[in-house]
Amino acid sequence: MVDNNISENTVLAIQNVSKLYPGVMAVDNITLDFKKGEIHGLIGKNGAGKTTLVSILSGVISPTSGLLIFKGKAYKSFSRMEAKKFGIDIVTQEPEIIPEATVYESFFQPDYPMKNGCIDWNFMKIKVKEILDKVGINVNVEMRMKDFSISLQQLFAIIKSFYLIKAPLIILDESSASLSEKDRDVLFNIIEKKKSEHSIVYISHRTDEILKICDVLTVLRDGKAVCTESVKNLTEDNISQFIVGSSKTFEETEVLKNTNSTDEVILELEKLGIFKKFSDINLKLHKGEVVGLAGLRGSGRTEIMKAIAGIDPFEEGVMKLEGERKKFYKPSDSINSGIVYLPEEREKEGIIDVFSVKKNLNLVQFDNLKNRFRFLDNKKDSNAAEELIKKFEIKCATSEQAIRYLSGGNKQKAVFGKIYSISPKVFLLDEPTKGIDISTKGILLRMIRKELTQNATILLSAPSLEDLMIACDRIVVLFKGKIFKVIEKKDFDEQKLFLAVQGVK
Amino acid sequence: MFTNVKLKVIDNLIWVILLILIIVNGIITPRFFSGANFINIFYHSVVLGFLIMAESLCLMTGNFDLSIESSIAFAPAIGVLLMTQWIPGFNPFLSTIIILIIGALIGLFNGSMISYLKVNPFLQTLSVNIILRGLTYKLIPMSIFKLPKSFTFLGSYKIFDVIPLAVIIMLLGFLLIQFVLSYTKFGRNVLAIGGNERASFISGIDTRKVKTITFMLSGILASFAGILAIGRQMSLTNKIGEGLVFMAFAGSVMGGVSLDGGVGNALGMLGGVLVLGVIDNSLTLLGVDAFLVYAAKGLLIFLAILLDNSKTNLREKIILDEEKRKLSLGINN
Repeated sequence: MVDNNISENTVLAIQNVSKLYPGVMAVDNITLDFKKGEIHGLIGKNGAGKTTLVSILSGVISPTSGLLIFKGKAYKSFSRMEAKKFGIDIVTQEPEIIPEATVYESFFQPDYPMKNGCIDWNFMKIKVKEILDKVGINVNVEMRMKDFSISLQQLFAIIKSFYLIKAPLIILDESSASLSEKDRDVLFNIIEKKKSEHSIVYISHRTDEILKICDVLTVLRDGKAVCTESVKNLTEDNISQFIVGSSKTFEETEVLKNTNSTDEVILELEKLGIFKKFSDINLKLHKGEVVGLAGLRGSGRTEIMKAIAGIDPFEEGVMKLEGERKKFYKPSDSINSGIVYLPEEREKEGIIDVFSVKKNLNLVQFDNLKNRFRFLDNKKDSNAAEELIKKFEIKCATSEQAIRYLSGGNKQKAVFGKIYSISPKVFLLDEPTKGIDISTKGILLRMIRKELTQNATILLSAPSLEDLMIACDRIVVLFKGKIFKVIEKKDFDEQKLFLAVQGVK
Repeated sequence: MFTNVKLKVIDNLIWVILLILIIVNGIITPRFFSGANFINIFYHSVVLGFLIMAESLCLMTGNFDLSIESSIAFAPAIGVLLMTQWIPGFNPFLSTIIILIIGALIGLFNGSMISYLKVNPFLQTLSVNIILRGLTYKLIPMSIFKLPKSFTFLGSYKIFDVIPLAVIIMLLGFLLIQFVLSYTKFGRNVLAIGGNERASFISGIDTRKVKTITFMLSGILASFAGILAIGRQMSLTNKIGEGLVFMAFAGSVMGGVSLDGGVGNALGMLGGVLVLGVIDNSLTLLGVDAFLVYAAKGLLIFLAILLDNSKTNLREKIILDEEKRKLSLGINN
C-alpha cells in the first residue's frame, strides 16, 4: 500500500491527495514528500490551494481522497490532535496569540510544565530566557504579548516551534509577510541553524525569498502541483511563469474592451498618508474609469479605501472631490457626499444578518423611500428592493427572506445593491470578488465595468490579479504603503504585475 | 403552508402564552374573569410597560440600560421636591417637563459615555443606577404626600371613572414605538445597529448618535413611568422602581426582543407586559404569599431566557425542515 521509494529521510509524504469543495477542486491530486533537512517552498496565486494543502497537512481539514504517510504508516486524514502528536506544527499567517499572556507563558500554552501538580512558572521563565538568548533576542520575558509588534509576536511563534516544540515538520504559512526586515533575517538565521533537524514547509508570496532559502519548490496553480523542482534549476522569471501559467491570453478572456472613461476628474488624492500604513499616495480618478489597486496584504489597499471613506480618516495630504477639498471623519459624511465603500469582510462589515434582503438593500437609501410625511412608504420600499434584486440578479425566495439564508455570492450582490442604491459618485470596492463563485464573479465584474461606471469612478481591489486585469482601465501597484507602479490597460501582463506586486521592478 | 403557521406561532409565541394563561386562570382563579379585573391588570402593568419600552429600545441597539430602575425615582423626586419644597407652588406642568428633561439628561450621560468613550454599558449604567438610587434615598428620606392634582392626574385619572388614562397612554406609547420602528429612519437605524453595528457604521449610519438618542429616550420613558407611578399611588417614596429593571428585561425578552440586538417589535413587548401582569394578578388573587410571587417571577425570567434561546433554534429548524421537504419533492428554490 505504501510506496517503496519513499526514502528514510522522509518525515511526511502525501499521495494523490485531493480536496473537493462544491464546484472547486481546491487541491487536485497532489503527491509530495517532505524530507528532514530540506526546506520545501510552496508558492502560488491566491486561491491556488496553498492554504487548503497545509490545512490538510496540519489536520485542520480532511482530504476528499488520497493518503497521508507518516513514518511508513498510511492515514486517510489526520485529526488536529494526531497531527500535533506527530509533531506537525504550523505557524499561521497572522500570529495567534493571547494578548494578555506574558512572553514566557505564551511559549508554553497550552501545554504548561507541571511540578507537584502545579504549573511550574519558574522553569518556564528560565527555559524561555535561555531559548531567546540562543536566538539572540533580548526582551523582558515578563512583558505581555500585546506589548510587542506583530512582527515580534510572529517571531516568538516561530522560535517556539523550532526550539521548544522541536516539531519534525514545521509549516511556515506566509510567516515572513508580517515580519520586519530585521526579524526576517533572524528567521533566516534560525532556519539556517536548525535546518538539519527539521523538515520545513515554507509558504511565501515572494520569489526572492524562496530562491534564497528553499531547497525544493512546488508551484501550485488551480489546486495542481504544476512543478516540483530543485531551486537550483529555477530563476525568478520561470517561477513566475509557472505561477501565472500559460493560461488564456488576455484577449481571449472576457475583456470588456469599451471603456466609459472620460477626462473629468472626480476624486483627487494628493500625498495622502497615515503613519505606518501608507504614505505619499497621489491619484486622480476620472469619471467612468475603473482603477485597480494591487498589492500584497498590508500594502495599504484596504487602508487607503477606508481613509477615503472616512472609516479610518487619513492624517496627511489633501483629498478633493470634484475639485472641492474634503475630509471625512465618519462614513455617514462620506456617503452623503456620494462616496460609498464596499467592505472586504462581507459578513462582519457588509450585511446585517438578522435583517431581510429588503431591509439590507434599502438601508442606505431611506431618504428616497419617504412619503410626504417623511415616513417610510411601504410601496416605494418594496419597489426599490425589487428593482435592485432584478438589477443585480440576487437569488432569494422573496425580498422578505432573511439575508443570512442567502449564498455568499448573493449576499455580496445585495451589498452591491445597497451601495448602488444612492447612485454614488465614487465606488470604493474592497475585494468584491473574494470568496465568490466564478459565475457570480462574472456578473459582478461585468456590472462594475458597465453599470457602475455610468456616472461614477471606481477604485477596485481584488484577491486575484486576473480580476483586476478584466475590470480595470488602470492598475496601481502598491508596495509597502507606497505607489510602486502604475500600469495602463494596454500594458497589462499578469507576469509583470505579479512581480511588481512583490516590489520587483 | 403548515410551515408558515408554525413560524407565525413562534414569532407570536407570547400571545399564545397569554391566551393559555387567560384560559387557565379563567378556570382556576376566582374573580379573574371580569372586566374590572382586566382593567386592573392593565392598570398595574403601566409602570412596567414604560420600563419595558425603555429597556427594549436599548436592547434593540445591542446595549442595555440598568439605570432606568433609578431614573424612575430620581427624576420625579427632583420634580416633586421642586413643586412641594424648593419652590412651593411651582407649576406642576413645568415640573413634569423638567422631570422628563432630567430623564433625558441621564440618558445623554449614559449614551455619550457608552458610544463616544466606549465605556462598557453594564458598568456605566450600573454605577449610574447606584448613584441615583443613593441620591434618591438622601433627597426623599420619607414619603411625600399631598401632591397637586394636576401632577397626579396622568397616573390617577380614570375616563368615565372606569378606564385609567395611564392605560390609554401606555397603549399609545406601544403604538408609537411600533410606528417608529417600522416607518422611520431612526427606528430602522436602531434595529440595524443592534443587528450589526460595524456594518451599520460603514453603511453611513451615525451609530454613536443613534445610540445616544436611544439612551435618552430610555431615560425619558423611565422618568415618565415614575410620574405615572406617583400619580397612581398619590405619593412619592424612595422605593419606586426597585427590582423592576430585571422585570423589564424579562418582559422585553419574552416579548421577542433579542438580547443580541437587532430584533424586536412593540406588539410583542406589549404581550410581555401583559403576561407578567396576568401572572402577578392571578397569583395575588389565588392568595399566594407575596415572597413566593417574587420567586415565581424569578422563575419567569429564567423561562424567558430559555424561550429566547430555543426560539431561534426552533425557527431555524422549521425553515431547514421546509427546505428539506421541498428538496425531497424536487421543488427547486
